[in-house]
Amino acid sequence: MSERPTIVIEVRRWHPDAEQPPWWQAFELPYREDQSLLEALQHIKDELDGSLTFRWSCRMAICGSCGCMVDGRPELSCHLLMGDLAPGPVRVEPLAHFPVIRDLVIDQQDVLDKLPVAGAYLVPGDDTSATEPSRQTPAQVAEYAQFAQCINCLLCYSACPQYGLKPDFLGPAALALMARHDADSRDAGQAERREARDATSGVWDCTLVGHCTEVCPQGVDPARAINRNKGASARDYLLDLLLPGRRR
Amino acid sequence: MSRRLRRSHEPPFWLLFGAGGLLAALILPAVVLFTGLIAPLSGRCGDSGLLEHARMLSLLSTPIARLACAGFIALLAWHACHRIYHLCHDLGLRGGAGLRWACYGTAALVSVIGLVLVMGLPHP
Repeated sequence: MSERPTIVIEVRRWHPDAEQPPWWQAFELPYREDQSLLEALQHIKDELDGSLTFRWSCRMAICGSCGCMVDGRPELSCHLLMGDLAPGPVRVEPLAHFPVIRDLVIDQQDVLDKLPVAGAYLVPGDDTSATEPSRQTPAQVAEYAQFAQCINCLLCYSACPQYGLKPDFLGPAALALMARHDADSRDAGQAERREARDATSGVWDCTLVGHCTEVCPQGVDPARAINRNKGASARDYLLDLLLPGRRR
Repeated sequence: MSRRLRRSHEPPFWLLFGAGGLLAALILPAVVLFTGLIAPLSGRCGDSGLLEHARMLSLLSTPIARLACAGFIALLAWHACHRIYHLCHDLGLRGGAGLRWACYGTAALVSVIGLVLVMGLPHP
């Protein structure tokens, strides 16, 4: 049996209880081409250093738990194969722009707080009867299906330079989910979402860098969602200007 | 949770930026094709007067053509200045209100100067 090749993975470590600034720790471990980076991190935790801390759950890019920076780019660690990362070394860090709790675990509270501000939920209309299913045509589903694939992995927030510069910015995922619900034929919440949409921290903080769309593991296009809403927000701005008393 | 939402006054600037970008994308390739390829080639083929001053001036013989030309100059200026303003922000340069006035002031100044110069051209 031939020896398995090895690779070096450098992990940015930080423990809040150890009064020590963050440090880089290098681990050399055997790997298989078809092994995911998450499995390699699990190997480190099981065999080399049990104190390495990271989030994970589904191992198949659907739960959005295992996001981290890999060689400076936001990625899901379960979505990368070691064969593609070889020969290394691979540098793994916690997601950029978020406070770190420990090692690769970040505090996602800020985004969780922003989801309700952006109205990222379905607001039923008055005529919705609880006894009847709300049927939709394939065309009505197609209006929002693209934006509904978000798994809240927060890679787009790490990719977004605006979120890094202005933490108030509602951000790519929240604004994509705003567009997703606005476009849903069962939803009646457009008016409620307008204040957040039209705010400086809403769609207007986006300068269409587009990196959010590039890193999304689900193929969601937040940049397009935000810019669609910029058009709607600009239209309402002009109408409010021309027709005083139109709003509120 | 206390999160103050302040309405943005960016829409008019963004609309000017968008209009300028659309015009640039539509018209500038034609301008490049005309001045960079067609005019020099036609010069080689015997007609050296395609870009002659009198001919160019005759394009602006009506007030509507002059207004369109001045509008084109103005929108391109608003497009460029808006992009520069946001590029500074993207690069982490915190210019604040001073940078905003400098960028949009330049666009407004270019618009006025362009309008005055184009409308003041002699009639052919």
